[in-house]
Amino acid sequence: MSKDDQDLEALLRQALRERADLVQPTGDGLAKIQERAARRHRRMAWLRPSIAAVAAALAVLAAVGIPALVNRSGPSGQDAASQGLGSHSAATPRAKATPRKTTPKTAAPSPGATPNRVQGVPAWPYRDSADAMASAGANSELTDPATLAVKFVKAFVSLDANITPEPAVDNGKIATVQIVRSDLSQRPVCTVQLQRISPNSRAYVVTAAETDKLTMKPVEPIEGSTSVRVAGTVQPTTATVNTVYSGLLLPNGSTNAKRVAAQPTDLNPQNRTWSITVNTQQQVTRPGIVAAWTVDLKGDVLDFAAQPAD
Amino acid sequence: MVTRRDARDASTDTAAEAPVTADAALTELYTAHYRKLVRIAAMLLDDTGLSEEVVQDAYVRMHAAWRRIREPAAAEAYLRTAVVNLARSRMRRRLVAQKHAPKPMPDAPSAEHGALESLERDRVIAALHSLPRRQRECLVLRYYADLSEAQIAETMGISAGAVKSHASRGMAAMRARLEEES
Repeated sequence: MSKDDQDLEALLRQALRERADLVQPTGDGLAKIQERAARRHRRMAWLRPSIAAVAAALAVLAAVGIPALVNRSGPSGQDAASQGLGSHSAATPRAKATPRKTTPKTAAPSPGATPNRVQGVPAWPYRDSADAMASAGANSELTDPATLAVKFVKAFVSLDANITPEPAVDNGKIATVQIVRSDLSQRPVCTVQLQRISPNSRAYVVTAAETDKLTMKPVEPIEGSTSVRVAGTVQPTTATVNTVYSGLLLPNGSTNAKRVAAQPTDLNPQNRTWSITVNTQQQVTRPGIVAAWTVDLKGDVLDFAAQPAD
Repeated sequence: MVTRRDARDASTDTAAEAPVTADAALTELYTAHYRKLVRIAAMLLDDTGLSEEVVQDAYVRMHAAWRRIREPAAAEAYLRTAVVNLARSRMRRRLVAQKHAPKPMPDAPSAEHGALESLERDRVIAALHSLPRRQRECLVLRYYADLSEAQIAETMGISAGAVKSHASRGMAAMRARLEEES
């Protein structure tokens, strides 16, 4: 290495040190991180029971369905006879596919059936987790977390919303996608959290969306009610905000969703708390996702947050 | 007979075996690395506020992934990689919006502030910022974060050979630019 190289390296090292020393982080970093981590933890908590249920359903499928499928695809004549299954010729196809004589008595699901015990959790954009399992991969758009995240926000605020996704950060189980405004400000709108419905599935479901600037309190269970009360805070720095909108997304099939929106019934100018009662017009029979968002003077979305409401 | 040293080793082992909760790890790792990571991000982004956001985001992700990480050393590497990736993502967004020029760090000295030495260092930083992303990342991680080639390779997700190549090209480009200006 020449002396010139060494000089430049030393100069660069010194310049970087000097420049970096000017950077003094604010003191509230840990509090902000802890608050965000706690919020994320709370929001993920709702999905864990459903994942366990899906895992159990998959285990049943793997234990019963896969051997059945393997046997069905193999030669049926001699092999079946050699295993003593010939005497069950009058039995149902499920009994034929089962390798042991004693198992036909058990109430195993038929091969290929979707697990129907996983019901009753919001699994946008699907009707529920079982639907997600069955429909995974049917629509390639729904297997891309970034596309799905934008679609989710637009489902609430507007289909013409001027927003775009950042590349998804995906660890194979959980994906996060930051949504930003498409205009020159590139202002962050929210971070959408998605979860893969199972390790072997290509289907993602949206679990929540969050931003530091607009928070939501946990929503009361809404099944059986005709309205939902949503409340939270808006950061004082969002000075131009004088309206908070809230919407409720009710799964109503694989692709359709019912969307209702409302303005706040209370927006406290002192501490920027807000609350909204969203009237659903009908009794809610399925879990849904509740969102809140703010807009600028042009009506473009500023901040967006969402959480499940079951 | 148990010597004092044995007892100390035993207690260290016990402490090492005790599971560290995600919350405890978060506090510990914040104290140990937050400032340095913000500064690394600031060297890549040239924006203090944005750098803090990026690093906070990395810590939140690390907290969520703690069950997989578990080791403080692995957590440090995880945080570093997350910061570089998130900074990259922010940079990409900034490039897309070409008119969105990077905000200078609020506490950066003005041009008339200093002596010739200070001006020269400002020129070096400007030259660094003009480099392609990978070259810049290599140089910041090498000459500010003091990482080894292997650590830089792991952080950036590239081979050690590529690190060497990017660093060498980066230094050559910086030298050319500084000579051109003088």
